[in-house]
Amino acid sequence: MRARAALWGSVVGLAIGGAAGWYLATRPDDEAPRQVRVSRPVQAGAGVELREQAVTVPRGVDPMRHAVEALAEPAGEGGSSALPAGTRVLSLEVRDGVATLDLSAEFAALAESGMTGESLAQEALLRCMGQFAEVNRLTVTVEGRPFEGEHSGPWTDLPVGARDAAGDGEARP
Amino acid sequence: MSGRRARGAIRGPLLAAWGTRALWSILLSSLGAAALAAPEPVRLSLRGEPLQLRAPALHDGRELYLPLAALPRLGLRYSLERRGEIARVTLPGGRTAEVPLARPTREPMAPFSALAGHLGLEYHREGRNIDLRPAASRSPSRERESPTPPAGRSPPGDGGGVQPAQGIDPPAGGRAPVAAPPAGERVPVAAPPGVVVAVDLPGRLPVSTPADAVVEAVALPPAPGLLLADGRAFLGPAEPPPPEPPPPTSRIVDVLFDAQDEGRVQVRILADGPLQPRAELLSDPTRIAVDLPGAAPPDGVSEWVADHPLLASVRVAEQQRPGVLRLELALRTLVVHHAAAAADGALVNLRVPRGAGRSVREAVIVLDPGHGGHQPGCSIGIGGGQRVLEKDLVLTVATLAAGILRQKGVQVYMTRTTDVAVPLRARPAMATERNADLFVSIHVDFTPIPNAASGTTVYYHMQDEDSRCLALSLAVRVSRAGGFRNRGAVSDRRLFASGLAVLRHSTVPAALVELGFLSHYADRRRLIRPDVQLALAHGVADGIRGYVEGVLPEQPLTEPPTEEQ
Repeated sequence: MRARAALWGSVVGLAIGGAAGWYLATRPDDEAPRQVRVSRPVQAGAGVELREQAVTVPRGVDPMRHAVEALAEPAGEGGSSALPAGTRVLSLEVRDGVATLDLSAEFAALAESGMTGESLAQEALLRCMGQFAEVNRLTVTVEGRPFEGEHSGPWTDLPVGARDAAGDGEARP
Repeated sequence: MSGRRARGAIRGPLLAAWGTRALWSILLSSLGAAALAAPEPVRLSLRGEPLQLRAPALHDGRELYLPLAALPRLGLRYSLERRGEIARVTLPGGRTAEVPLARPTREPMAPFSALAGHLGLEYHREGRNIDLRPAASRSPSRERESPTPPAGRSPPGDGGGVQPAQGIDPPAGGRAPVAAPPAGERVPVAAPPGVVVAVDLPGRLPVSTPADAVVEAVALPPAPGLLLADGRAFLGPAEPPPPEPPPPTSRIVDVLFDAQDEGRVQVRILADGPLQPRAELLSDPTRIAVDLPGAAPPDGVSEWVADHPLLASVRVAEQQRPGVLRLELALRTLVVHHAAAAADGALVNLRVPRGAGRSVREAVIVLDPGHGGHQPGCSIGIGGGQRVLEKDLVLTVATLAAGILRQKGVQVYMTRTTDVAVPLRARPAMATERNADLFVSIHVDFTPIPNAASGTTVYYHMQDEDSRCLALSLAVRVSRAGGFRNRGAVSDRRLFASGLAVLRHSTVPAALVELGFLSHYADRRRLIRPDVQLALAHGVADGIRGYVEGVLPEQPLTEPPTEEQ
């Protein structure tokens, strides 16, 4: 009788312990601070280029979402952002390597940012998502609808990471 | 007894939890590691100076991992905390930062992204070589002017005649210049993160320091330079000169011309060894440069004259890079080129671009004023409650250009003639439907930073050489006509990985003209003037005509000017 109780006790203990172990192993490590990189437009010579900044992710916050939200924030007083002012992240999901980023309606103002503005925004987002190993491609929607740039076309299934466009003559304006 | 049982009942699940946590962690990290690209060892250098490390740095395609032993070499002290999960890094200024460590292999390593902000460094990768440089430094592949110097940087001036290390102007707090140290003596000067230190030395060398770097001045003849080592910047001898190029492996023997017809010619560059040609269309004047690494010029001959409608001559040009011989092809008209290695040297094939080599009167053109309808494009207020909209401005210029071309007898179609939205794909599709020769889209540009960029840019798709010729012709003539800076013909790959939609879907030579920047005050003032809009329209018409008739952009169009001109 005692042996059976001890056996059941061990089984229950192992089950509880296993579940707790799973939780401890998979929960976000809210102890260790993490830094993400965000790209912001800066003047460079007679043009504009993106420059990366390290941003510390607050504890308990999803780094990927925080990186995109930080991207939309201007860097300090007088700083600029590659995304239209007021852009918010409505949702961000990653499935099979494809991140689907749903942005608020403010992002649609990108249509008024000119070709260079549109290019900077796309590249900043692709660089931002490129730092996360689980993301290979990016699809952008605005309030659930597929986004189409007025110069570049649909922002669907875009390969993430920094582009290698070396050797193409002049740099970006 | 019951107390022991109760303690056992609590300890059992706890032990099991810790044990299985470790097992899950190992299992998950193994799966995660398998999903990532395997990190490969890379050679690390700090501003060009190799860092000799016992354990190599690793790169997995996304992140650079530094062995902990590299941190002291970057001027960082560290201690491990939380069972080796965190490195508490002491920065040169005394501040500390927590850096979460990664384990791309078994050993804990510092992700560079977590350190970059503290160090003020960024890395540049070339294959397995990675160089750490100050974040403000320029990429060698992108030629740009230096960014605007931060406050505190000494104004540029004549440093000639000043003795080496006469003074360093630390910008923080407006400290007085440091007195000239005796030769060989190092004078540390504290510099806040990211500042630019102007050094009063011959040549006035501005240097960007890493975060909290200590700048040391050393009076070392002859020419001073800046070296960064061990996380500290100091003045020392100038950077070592680039290594001597290897001796030439081949010598040019002769250059022959094989005229296939009036619209095609082959340039044969004969050599006594293998050649790897790389050709590029250059402007001002329009010419083709053929770079031949490892080649030597022929003895006694520096120019070969061609007798062909496309080509005037080939000559040995001034050397641009050590160990690379440059030949320049002087053109008579705009041409498309293709260079390749051959058994006896190299070949450069030249031909008339698609849709060119005839009178513009025979051409069919589609002009595409960008945006329209509910898509206004970029816009800006110009006072008095008025706002300039891109869609209106480009429609005006395109309509004027269409009128100018039609007066010359050209058949012109426009994707829109009123304020309506036209889908992106439908725009180049019109060129296909109308069996047009060229498609030219007209826009104005905008930057998120006001007054950051100005001038005319013309984009072509990817590496389409026909479209590149069209873009070159338009860039020169539109910028000159409108009085704008010529930013040149640029591949749309610079902007978007898959290029611009209207160029991507075009089946005929196509270009997108950005007339100027509405975000730049000087461009804007010109863009809104009706006389400038008319001049820009003439520029567009002339650029198209120059391409079709094969007139080099720097050459005048010979036809008498029309009434508007």
